[in-house]
Amino acid sequence: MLLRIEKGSAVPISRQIIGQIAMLCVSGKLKAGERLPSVRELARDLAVNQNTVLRVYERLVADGLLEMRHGQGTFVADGAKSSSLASHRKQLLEELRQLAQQGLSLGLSADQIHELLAKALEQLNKQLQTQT
Amino acid sequence: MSTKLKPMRSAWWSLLWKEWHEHKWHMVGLSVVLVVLPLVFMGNDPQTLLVTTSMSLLCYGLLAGLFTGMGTAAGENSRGTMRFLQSLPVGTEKPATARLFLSCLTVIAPICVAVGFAYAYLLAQQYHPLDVEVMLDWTRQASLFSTQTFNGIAGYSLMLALLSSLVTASLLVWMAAFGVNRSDEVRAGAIGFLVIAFVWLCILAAQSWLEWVNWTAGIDVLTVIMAAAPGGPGLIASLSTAGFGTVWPYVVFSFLVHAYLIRRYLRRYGRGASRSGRPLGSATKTVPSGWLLPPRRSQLSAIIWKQVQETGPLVALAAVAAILFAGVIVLLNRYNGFRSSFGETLAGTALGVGYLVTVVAGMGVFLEDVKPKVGIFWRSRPVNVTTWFFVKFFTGLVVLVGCFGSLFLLAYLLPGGRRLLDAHQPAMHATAFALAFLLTYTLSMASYCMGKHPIVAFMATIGIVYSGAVASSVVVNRVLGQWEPELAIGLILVAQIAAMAIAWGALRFNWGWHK
Amino acid sequence: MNTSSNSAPAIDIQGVHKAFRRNQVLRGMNLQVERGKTFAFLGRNGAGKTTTIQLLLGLLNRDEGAIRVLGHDPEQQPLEVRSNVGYLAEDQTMYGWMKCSDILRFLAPFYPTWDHDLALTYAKEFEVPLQTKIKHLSKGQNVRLGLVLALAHRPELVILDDPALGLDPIMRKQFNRDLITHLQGEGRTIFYSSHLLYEVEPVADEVAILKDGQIVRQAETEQLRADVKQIVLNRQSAALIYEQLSVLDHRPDGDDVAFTVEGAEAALETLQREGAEHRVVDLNLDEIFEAYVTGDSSFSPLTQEVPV
Repeated sequence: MLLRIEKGSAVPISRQIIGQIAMLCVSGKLKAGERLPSVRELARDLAVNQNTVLRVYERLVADGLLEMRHGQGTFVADGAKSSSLASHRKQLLEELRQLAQQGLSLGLSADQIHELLAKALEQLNKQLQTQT
Repeated sequence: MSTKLKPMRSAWWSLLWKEWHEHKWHMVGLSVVLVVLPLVFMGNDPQTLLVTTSMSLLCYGLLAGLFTGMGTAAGENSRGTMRFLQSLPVGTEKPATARLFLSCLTVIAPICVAVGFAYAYLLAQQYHPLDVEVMLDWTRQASLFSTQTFNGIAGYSLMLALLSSLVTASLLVWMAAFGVNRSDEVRAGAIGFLVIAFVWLCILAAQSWLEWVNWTAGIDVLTVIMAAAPGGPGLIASLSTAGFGTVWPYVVFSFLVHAYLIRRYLRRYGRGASRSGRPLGSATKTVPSGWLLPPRRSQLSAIIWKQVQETGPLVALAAVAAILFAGVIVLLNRYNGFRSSFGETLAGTALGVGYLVTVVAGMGVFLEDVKPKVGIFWRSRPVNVTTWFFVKFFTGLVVLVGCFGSLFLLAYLLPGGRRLLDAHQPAMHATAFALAFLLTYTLSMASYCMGKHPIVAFMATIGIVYSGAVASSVVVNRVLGQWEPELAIGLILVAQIAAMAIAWGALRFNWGWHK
Repeated sequence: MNTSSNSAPAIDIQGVHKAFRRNQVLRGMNLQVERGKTFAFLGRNGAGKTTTIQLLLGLLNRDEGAIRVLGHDPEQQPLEVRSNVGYLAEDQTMYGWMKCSDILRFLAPFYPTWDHDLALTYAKEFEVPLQTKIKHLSKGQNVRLGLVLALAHRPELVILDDPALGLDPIMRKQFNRDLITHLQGEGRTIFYSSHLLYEVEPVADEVAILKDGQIVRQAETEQLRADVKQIVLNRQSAALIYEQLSVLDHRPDGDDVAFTVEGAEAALETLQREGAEHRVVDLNLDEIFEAYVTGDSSFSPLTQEVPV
């Protein structure tokens, strides 16, 4: 599991880790039942406070992405993909909202913003096609 | 390997180990000097070894006691390790005790080695004890060591060792007690010297006065006080003939005073050092901007300002010392029944102190500039090294000449001062003296720039001047038969030019301008 | 031995004043550090961080107020404090003539709980060259040697005065890792000063910001991030609502004003209630720190400020 912490970012460290683990679950890089590093190991790897990592795990357990098995460690929960998708939708909506607000303040109309999104999706499609 | 990594047995062991490492070479060096010096002085007459040892111990006691005391007082501060020592979970009395103990050992051990060596040497040579006794008698007549208790060579040696150790250790303790916690050895030394000079000045003045009014009981009390003064415990050893019955007040008082001084050192060591630490708080808050004076107009005035700041205080202090010494000597002479004029005496002390200060000031001109850290700082500024050298050279010189010149003028104007210029060809002699001082100043500057070590430079300067004088007088006496002042002036001028060239070259080399 | 002192905070500073001649450095400082916390002590150069740390070790005496370190008063019982605290001074100067192995051996008997094997392990881990003289060490090696000396007696509390100062980025990361595994992992209290905020953030549980001799904010790192936000709103509503916000800093931004506020949640509620249109910007720790130490809170809605 490769996580990347951006220091000095406006996004708090715990939110960075939560986001990245959730992303790994959605993309299938972390599969259900897979064992995660212990709090201690992850804290050491990332050079991040153990309490922060502990809180991240607790939060993800509460969200249903991870489960703690007593004496065995922390594992990816069975329904991780769907629950993380749900939480991702929420986050995505938030990010899109911010983007839309930026667009509005630039003086774009709602149609023009839709158009831009469509264009972005089109570009991604092309990229995928050339890759395959 | 593994034994080398074992921890020390106890805190005391650690502290003594540390102090031992910091003092061991000092101790060896002093021992070697103290053994070799009498061997050189005794010349062709080995029977005089104990006498020459006694004489070198006189100088040794003063120098070793005071200089080692400066390090005992301020060595830890000047290296910047005091903070670290303070942060250890041990009261600062412990390191202080270890330090004082090893400092005393450092100055006393060489005495024992030197006296022991002289004694063993005389035994090995199988001189008739009576012949040596005759030699030793001379020291009694010259009242170097006027003790009557020693019998034979062994007794003399024992007494000599005891007396020198007491004098040296006492001076060290006085210096340590008053110089403690100063930020470096020079400051500690200055304070210590002042206190010690002041104590003796008071005692001698009191003595003169008591002699004057002829009050014997007062003189007896003063002698007791004297036994507690810096170096005073030596007096006890020389009084010990009288038996313990009469000596005990001296012993008790001296012991009490020195015990107090030791306690003072132990209690103060490392305390309050925080005050002399780096300035705290933001500079912008403490210095109102209105206080910032306009910048200096030119490089020239800036360099002159810096040099006056560096040399001025030292020279002024030395001038005060010269006047004080002259006062003491006049008082002493009066007590001994001589009448000496203050003017003449002042000229003498000004010459003596002035010479020492000339050596120190010569080194001081570029003292900081060739040190790695400050050196880099200056070299990284757009400063012309030629301007730098000559402006600093002449500013230092002007400060020296101004201060000591006015002292000599004062001496000349005071009663009895005119006799100074009664000599044959006074102008020539004055010029030769002035040039000799100039040469010394330049030589010490050159040797410091070459060696970058103040003590080495000091030794080198004295050595070069002394050996140069001896060598040239031998040559002149062989070839011409007698000295002419013009010749002396000429020789000194040549040496002066050479020394200046060397100093300049060395500074340029340090500046990184060697191509 | 003393059970009551075990539940007391590791560091307790109350109403401490300290002046150097006429320069007042600390003015009524209050600070509590709970046991087991990693505590970052932030402030600008000359704010009084080093003075505070020296007071904690009894290297200086305070003018007023009370200090307890692990239940002891450092002024009365400096030796108890120093034997239970691991201390690394800012720019620590040690005996240059000693080899690194010498100074380990030298220090061992001063601390009753010194663990020499641990010292050697740390020395290896921190890549301290044992057979080199201290005067020949680089700045980073000097700091790491100081750390070995501060940690080898397994102190309950570790006080580090700007340890990251001489370390390069790689070593800083390694240093943070060491703090986390060796100290946090063993439940020890760490109190360290720094001004590299982005280094502090991932590691510290709690931070305190020192300004003009007082603590202006003490909070958990994450909570501080959630609590301090920038709110951008237009001048009219700014003038109306300004009184109800606790503002740290303000900047004109065209027709808008950007406020940096404390108590973001309450502030947002107020804005919602007043129906003022606004935008919220997350701040990083650097910006939060800047708002506290150099912020200009005196917003006067009447003056026409020239936008920068």
